[in-house]
Amino acid sequence: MQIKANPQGYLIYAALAAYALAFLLLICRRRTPGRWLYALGFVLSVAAFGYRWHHVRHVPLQNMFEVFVCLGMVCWPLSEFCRRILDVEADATDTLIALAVLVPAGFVFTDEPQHLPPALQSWLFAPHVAVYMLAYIVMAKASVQAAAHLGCRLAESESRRAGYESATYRLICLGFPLLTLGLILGSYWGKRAWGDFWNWDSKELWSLASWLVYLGYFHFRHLYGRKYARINSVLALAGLAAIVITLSWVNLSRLFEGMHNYAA
Amino acid sequence: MANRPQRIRRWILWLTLVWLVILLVLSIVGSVRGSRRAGELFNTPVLVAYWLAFVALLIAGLWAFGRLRRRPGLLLIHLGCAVVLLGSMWSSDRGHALQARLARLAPRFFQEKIPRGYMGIFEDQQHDQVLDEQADEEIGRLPFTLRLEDFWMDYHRGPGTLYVRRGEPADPNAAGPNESGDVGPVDPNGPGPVDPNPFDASNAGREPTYTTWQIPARVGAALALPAPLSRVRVLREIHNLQVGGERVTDRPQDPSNPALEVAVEMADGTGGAAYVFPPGTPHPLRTDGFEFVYEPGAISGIKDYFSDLVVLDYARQVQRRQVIEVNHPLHYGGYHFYQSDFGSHRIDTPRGPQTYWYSLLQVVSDSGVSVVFLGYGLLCLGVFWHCWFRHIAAFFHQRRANAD
Ligand code: HEM
Repeated sequence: MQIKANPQGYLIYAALAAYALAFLLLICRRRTPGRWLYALGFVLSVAAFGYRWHHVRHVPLQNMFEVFVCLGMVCWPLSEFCRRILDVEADATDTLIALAVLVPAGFVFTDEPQHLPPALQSWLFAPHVAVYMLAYIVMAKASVQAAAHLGCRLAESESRRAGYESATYRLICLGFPLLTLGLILGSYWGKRAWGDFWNWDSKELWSLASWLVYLGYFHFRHLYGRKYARINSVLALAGLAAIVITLSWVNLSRLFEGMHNYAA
Repeated sequence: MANRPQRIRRWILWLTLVWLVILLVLSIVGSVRGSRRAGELFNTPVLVAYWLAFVALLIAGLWAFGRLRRRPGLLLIHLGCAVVLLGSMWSSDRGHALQARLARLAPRFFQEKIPRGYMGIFEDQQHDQVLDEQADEEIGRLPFTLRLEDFWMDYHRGPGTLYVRRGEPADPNAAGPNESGDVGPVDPNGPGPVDPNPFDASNAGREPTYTTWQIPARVGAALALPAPLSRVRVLREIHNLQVGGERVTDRPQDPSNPALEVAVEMADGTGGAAYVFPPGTPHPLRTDGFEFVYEPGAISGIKDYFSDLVVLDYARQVQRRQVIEVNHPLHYGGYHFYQSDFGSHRIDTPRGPQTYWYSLLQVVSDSGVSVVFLGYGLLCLGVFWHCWFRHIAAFFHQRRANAD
């Protein structure tokens, strides 16, 4: 537990409060004020991110604290995009995702500023991490749809179940290119900084594993279509599980030793 | 014929799924074993067979599924994957062993190369010897020579301060000179005299007899001074100044001789560069009744490492010079050279013990790397085309059709 009694912390807590209120309003079907509050939470988290950027004088994507502030910031634009373009509406659960990723930034990780180690001083640093942040939130949204699909009672209408299943697919189609780009940028950067485009490092292997789960999803879904639709959704959830491990466990646990540990 | 029989296609897709699950399980196993042992695992002969089968599967997929060939996105994805796998295999240690064997058969087309190793080069020395990972045994020699001109580091440092003191009694009625507003950053403490003198302990408790100014020691910061001087400007912060022969260099060891390079300009338009040292050094900078003192900021970490390298390729009559740092390797003659580490040796010489610095470079062959990156490009383009651009294009196509 790490309470931050500084402007950085106040901005994060204000954003958290806005997200929490938005969530409450949205589950009570108060859509308009809920959405406004969700947008306000976004503005506050942008301010938190911008404050951090100014404070540490480099793109703040270096450690777990900064990464989670960034995750809390990208939720709202992605929700808007998915609602308007992909026709996937999930405001209430989206605010829950935003809350879930901002809580660790507010209460778990330390906001002690750090110098960028030499390996991180590269133009690839920001795009490599930023692309992954976007992909992770999109995949979290896909998992919500997959869970809704699995949670649907059989009695519910067929079209509703199919709706969740196809929303999962559309979201994975949105997130997968970002995941691929993140992997490729990371590999290219590894070549420049460490001399090898692939080091068999545990973080690399887990990000490969997440990517492979989605590949399995695509090919399985192509093989059977909606015949075993539940397995499609289980695979989407397994993808998020792999992402959560990539993002947190590998950094935090002493189980794996690797080159990405300075990111903890 | 667009499609092969349904049965074959199902088989291929099932095998693909099995292959993906195997790779998934191995990745997780590898992540627990640590990167070194994971690398060994993925390069065992069984896994070589696995990788080859994966490429074969991709080609079989392209053969069996017409859509994989007709849809540009899908074609790029699956082709790109095969290219990445082939490039990786070519760049592996086994790939290099194969290249060495082919080089004996067809030396015009293939080259025997050292897959990876290390080079330790002392400053002002040159050689072509590549060492193993422990950096103690020679594993080969390069067809050219590398020379280390210089090695240094850059530090994260807090802000330093430049003090200027005029060696005359302070006259409170005289109009003090001002820091010129248009050049460089302005010190938050404000321009003008600072009393009592902060860097001379002998002044404590006495009436101030000197006028002192201060500015932050940042490159570009400037201070206007009364005649016969006109201005002093900060040119460079040096962490550890050493004068050897004709060169003034910044050495890598613990910064023990910080200095500030400044430009001192006179009212008559003359002037030049000079070095300012911290209080108590034997060479204080004094001129025309002014004394300059530099107070360096605290060091809080290493920012970067640099090696100034020269390639000497006698066979090809090439001489190339490049400063490498982390994230900026040197690429020459089929190898990449990376800044890896550094160190020093103390050697007793007739003139007393001397410290010699060396840079440790990682040497990695570039075979197959451009193939891998080409595959990355194809794969990435294909994925974005198939998942994103295809739909964006369709959306605009639809809109135009509706408008007509
Ligand atoms: C190893 C053998 C492989 C075979 C035989 C194979 C075969 C296929 C087939 C038949 C499809 C369906 C195309 C369609 O829409 O009609 C497909 C889709 C796809 N494959 Fe593969 N594939 C293989 C490996 C891979 C790999 C390694 C990747 C990694 C980049 C990959 C990425 C994709 C993607 C992204 C799709 C699109 C899925 C969708 O649109 O729903 N495939 N593959």
